Amino acid sequence: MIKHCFPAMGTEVELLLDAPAGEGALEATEQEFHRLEALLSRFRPDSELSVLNAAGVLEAGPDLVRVVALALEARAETHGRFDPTVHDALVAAGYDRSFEAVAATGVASPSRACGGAVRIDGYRIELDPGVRLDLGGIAKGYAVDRAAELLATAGPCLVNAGGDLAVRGGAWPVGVEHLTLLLERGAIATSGRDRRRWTRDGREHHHLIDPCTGAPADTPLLRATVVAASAAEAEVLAKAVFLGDEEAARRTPCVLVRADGTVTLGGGLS
Amino acid sequence: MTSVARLYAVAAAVLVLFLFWAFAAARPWGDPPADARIANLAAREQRLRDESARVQRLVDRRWLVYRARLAERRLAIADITRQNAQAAAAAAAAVRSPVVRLAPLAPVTATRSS
Repeated sequence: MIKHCFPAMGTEVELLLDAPAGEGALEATEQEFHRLEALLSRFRPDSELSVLNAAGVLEAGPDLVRVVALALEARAETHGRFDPTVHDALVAAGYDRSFEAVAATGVASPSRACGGAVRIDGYRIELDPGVRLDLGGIAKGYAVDRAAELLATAGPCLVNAGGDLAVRGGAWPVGVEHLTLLLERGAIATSGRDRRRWTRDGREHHHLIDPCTGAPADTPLLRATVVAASAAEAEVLAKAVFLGDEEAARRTPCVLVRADGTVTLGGGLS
Repeated sequence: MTSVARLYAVAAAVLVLFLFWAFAAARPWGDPPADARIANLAAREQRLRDESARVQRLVDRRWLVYRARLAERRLAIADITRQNAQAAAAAAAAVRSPVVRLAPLAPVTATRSS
């Protein structure tokens, strides 16, 4: 088993490859992460996403088009619980730079509404006036899926980007709370308010915005871990379940942790 | 009138009478006599019309049978196509569905809030 770790997308990425050799694939996978981060990060002023947010319209590359399309599909399927138009709400909440640079305390800003039209026509993406996108979670899920496909050419593998993980080939024991899930196919993602937190006006904020209110979500859950076919899908479902999508929690294998530490299994996981 | 003039008058009258008789004998106002070739052509045309009508009825019957069988065949093809699509969708869903279970194993990695 080969293990390779590196920082990307504001987190630590871990690649596990069950093959006697595969340094080339590991290196290519890391480069793919960095390439996608350079395209999809809202914290890089020269990324395609930042250019789109600034101009409102862009002839984008295939990766940004694909991720925006996935995000719009997710917005429709989750009835708006997942919404890529939370950019301004996140900034208003205080998450206006990469998390390491976010001030731990400060003055609160009024919450910002989410929503607005995003149109894709071929490779052209157009935003309604005032609409800006944040693709943080789903972009990371997309990168994990791409990386897993790339690394799988060298052998059975697992790609874990700060909790969003996908496997290809083999069976991989993955720790979730005090449990171990043996993942043979698919991906896992966890959304929670126990990390990426800060304080504004003495009140705790976190990065999971409820698109209905435009403010950090107020839910009884602390974390939601979801198993799905792809990391991008798992990321979307984890967010939806965290925001109270009970139907998704019933049909999707998941591990829910409440604020009091109670752990519940759902979606046929037992 | 001299006798010569009378003779000419009688001769002219006889000539006119003859011409009138020839005209009446020709009966230009009556039906022309039937031509056997035309009658044959007419009979042949009628036979062909009858035969064409018989063929048309036969073709119509066969067309109806063909259309009915085509409709049945199309229904059968649609059924098979739908079954194939359902099987393919089920197979694709099975391939896409994650496979996961709880296991008493030590984890090689862990998920956490991202």
